[in-house]
Amino acid sequence: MPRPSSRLVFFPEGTTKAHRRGRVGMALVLGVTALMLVWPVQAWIPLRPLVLGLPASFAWVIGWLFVIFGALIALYRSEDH
Amino acid sequence: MESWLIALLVAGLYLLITLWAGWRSGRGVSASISGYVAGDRAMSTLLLYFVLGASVFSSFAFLGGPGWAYSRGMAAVYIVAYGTIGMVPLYFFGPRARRLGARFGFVTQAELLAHRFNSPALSVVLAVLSVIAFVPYLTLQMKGAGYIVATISEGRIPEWTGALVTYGVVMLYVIRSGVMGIGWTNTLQGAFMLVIAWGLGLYLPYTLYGGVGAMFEQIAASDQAALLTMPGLDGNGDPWTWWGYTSVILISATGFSVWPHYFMKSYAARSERSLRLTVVLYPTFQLFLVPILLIGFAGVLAFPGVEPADTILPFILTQLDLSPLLVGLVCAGTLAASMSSGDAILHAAASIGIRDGVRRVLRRPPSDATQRRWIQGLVVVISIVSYYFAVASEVSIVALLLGSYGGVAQIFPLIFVAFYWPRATGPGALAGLVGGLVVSTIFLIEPAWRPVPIHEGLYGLAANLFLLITVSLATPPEAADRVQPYIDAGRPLQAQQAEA
Repeated sequence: MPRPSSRLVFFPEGTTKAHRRGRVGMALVLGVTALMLVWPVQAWIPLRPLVLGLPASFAWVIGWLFVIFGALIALYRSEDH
Repeated sequence: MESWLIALLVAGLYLLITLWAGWRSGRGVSASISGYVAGDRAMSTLLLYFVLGASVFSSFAFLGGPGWAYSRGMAAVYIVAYGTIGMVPLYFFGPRARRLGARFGFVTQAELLAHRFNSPALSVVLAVLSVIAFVPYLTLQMKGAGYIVATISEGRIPEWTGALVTYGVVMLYVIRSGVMGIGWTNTLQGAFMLVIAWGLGLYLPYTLYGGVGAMFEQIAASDQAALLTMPGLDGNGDPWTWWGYTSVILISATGFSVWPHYFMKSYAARSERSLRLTVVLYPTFQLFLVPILLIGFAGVLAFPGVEPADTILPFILTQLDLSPLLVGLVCAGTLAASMSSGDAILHAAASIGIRDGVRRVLRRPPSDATQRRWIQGLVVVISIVSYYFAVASEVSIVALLLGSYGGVAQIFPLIFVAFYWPRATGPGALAGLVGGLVVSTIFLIEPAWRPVPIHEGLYGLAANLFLLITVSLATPPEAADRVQPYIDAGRPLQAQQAEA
């Protein structure tokens, strides 16, 4: 019986390049979003200008929610076809 | 008719409709464990969307969320931030879990981990952890429900009666219909919550300040301007530290997708496609936090000094000259938020307690029918225990709940390595989980011992990862034929279909 690999295996055999690209891209967007929402980046976002009535620092967080939403839609569409 | 009675009748009508929907919805599924716990793995995207969305937003959303914005200002934005990133891992984990669940018959998270790591002990530890995390969570939902009923009846109905009636309804439909009862009631409750939150969250700033922008401009120009400075204030009213803000986001996001009652809904999905689509659509539900926080900010200048801050929404409702019908609808929306989390927690706690706890320590596994009866019995027991804490005990439930977030996050590394690291072993997983829980608990009890003031769960995660990796490498690997299905479960659907 072969021993299990000691490496991380993110993509098993049979995974296409397009599938890998999509998943790696989503992981990168997730990582970047996480960095944008915590210190130090979030600390640089000022109160003004107000964006749609909201403080810029609040709107910044909501903006990244839309980035994640867009990235998930793109990933889903690429995998669904 | 008196205003309070009209509002109470609206809330009562909502409870009756919920009971009717929950009672009827279990008729379409089998009497098996898979039917009761995983809805025969046939839940549609619509139901999954509302189950995941509405279970996430508990009574905290309508009471604690506005309370945080009111008393701690921009600190409340952390709730939006961690939800933004927290659900994404389920896009990666969920379809794998669903595929393995269909193959091996899993209906809980611990079943998957115990099988992958060949460790019944891991299952029992996870069962204990889940129940310990769930009971305070459920207790808070009951407290919230009791508080709302007492508020709309202007104190004529005591909190203990409100909690009893509300959770009596929840218990009935969970016992009768299992996860499908949760599915249909959460759809009703989720839609209701969204309408109420957006309506009230936009109405209050316009009524009290002339608009959302005008509200924030007035707060910024007042002596409460510190509320709008990131990262807001701490519980004492002093500026919150970036250590605290950042680490709470990271630990909450880490634990978000692996809370056992969310994760196990992966097994209930009709297809991998519907599960992935649910995660894709989840940010639209998360947006509902924006009006929730606006409700709290609306109270800052208009109603200063409200204590405790979590009562700001009911306080505003009683101060404005609103139609009793509208007050009743808002209170029903708050009950919906409490019940939509409470039912999922109650159902998950009982299912996990029997499937992963009791069943594992018995020499002969009980039949499906017996397990179902035991789960229904445990639903009653957990309801009674939580109700006791809600109305009679002085134990600090909030402290238990805060601690449980750090505990639940310790499950994330195990899920990750189960799918992506073939070399991870049972002893490594058990050492990592127990070590992470111990370290997290120590720093929760003794916060002064933390080298830097970050959330105790992050220290737990560091210990967890260290032990998981070192003990796994020091122990013999699991058999390849046990590990390989977990790797293969990551193959794209098209590749599997082409092969078939």
